[in-house]
Amino acid sequence: MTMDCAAARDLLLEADPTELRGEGDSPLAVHLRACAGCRARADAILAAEAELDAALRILATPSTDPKVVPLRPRRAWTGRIVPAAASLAALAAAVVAMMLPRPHPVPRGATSEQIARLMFPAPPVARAEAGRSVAVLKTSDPGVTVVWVY
Amino acid sequence: MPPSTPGAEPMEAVVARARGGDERAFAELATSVRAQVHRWALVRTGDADDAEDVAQTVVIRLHRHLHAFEGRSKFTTWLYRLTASAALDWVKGRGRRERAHLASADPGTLAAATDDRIAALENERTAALVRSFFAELPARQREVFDLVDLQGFTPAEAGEMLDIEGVTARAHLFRARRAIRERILAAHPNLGDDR
Repeated sequence: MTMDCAAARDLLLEADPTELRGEGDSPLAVHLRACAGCRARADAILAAEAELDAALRILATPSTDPKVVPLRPRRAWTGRIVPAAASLAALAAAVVAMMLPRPHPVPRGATSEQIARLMFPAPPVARAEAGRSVAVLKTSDPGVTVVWVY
Repeated sequence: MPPSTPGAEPMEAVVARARGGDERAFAELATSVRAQVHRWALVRTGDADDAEDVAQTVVIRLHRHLHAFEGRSKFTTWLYRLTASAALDWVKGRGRRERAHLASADPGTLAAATDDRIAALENERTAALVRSFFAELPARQREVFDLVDLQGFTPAEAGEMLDIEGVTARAHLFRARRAIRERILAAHPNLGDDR
């Protein structure tokens, strides 16, 4: 063991995870395989970083609350799509729509209900497929496609 | 780059089908990348609610712009940049709506919704670590650390995704590691200086 603990404990603050696991032939890895005290520190770091990763995964899981994304792509579009979501299916957690190149003739100041009726004069059939959380719906207007995020 | 699911159709094939107008392929693609995009958005914005909104916006932009992906870069790199752009736009919009933002006024203050979600984590020590991750690390350091040490991208790949030099990515990585690991060790009183 050629590296002393003070040097090892400074190095492990910036070392790659593989070195922290004692893998390879670097001086730090060799020291960690031989020194229980420094090894315990490296193990604590690895465990905490794994916990941090798991926690971020949990935090990045969509909430089950209904969410709404405001539509911004075209000047002519002034509303939100909430009522369309409600009319599509109870499963909808969020519906977002995309305007294709031709602006939809939604009158300025239209209510969300009016927008929904314009987009869906006849109720569309929406199916939330197992294992999916996104669906694409065509509307009666070829200029409007709905990307349904549920 | 993180491994794909064993037995699953390669991402590139799904991207190609979606680019060709196959809406089912698009739904499959968007579903498969949604969690990843959400994670990137969370780390970038530091706000759990904003991250959800950004992730949904990215799904829309993915549908609109996928045809423009020509395969010159990896799909994950292209998607990351799409996410970063959406996050930036979202934060700007939030400023216009006069909402408080983590990165603007008080970098030590988390959005209430984010803090609530962190508080719900089972392990108190983990919750404290997550809080410090968001509150004490600059966004760029958070991104590099998350991409490299937690998600398994190489520093060079992270640099490409963030549009910075690999050496710069490594510099951010080392600073982030040192900050996070000093905090981790400080939270372990049994790992005192026993040398």
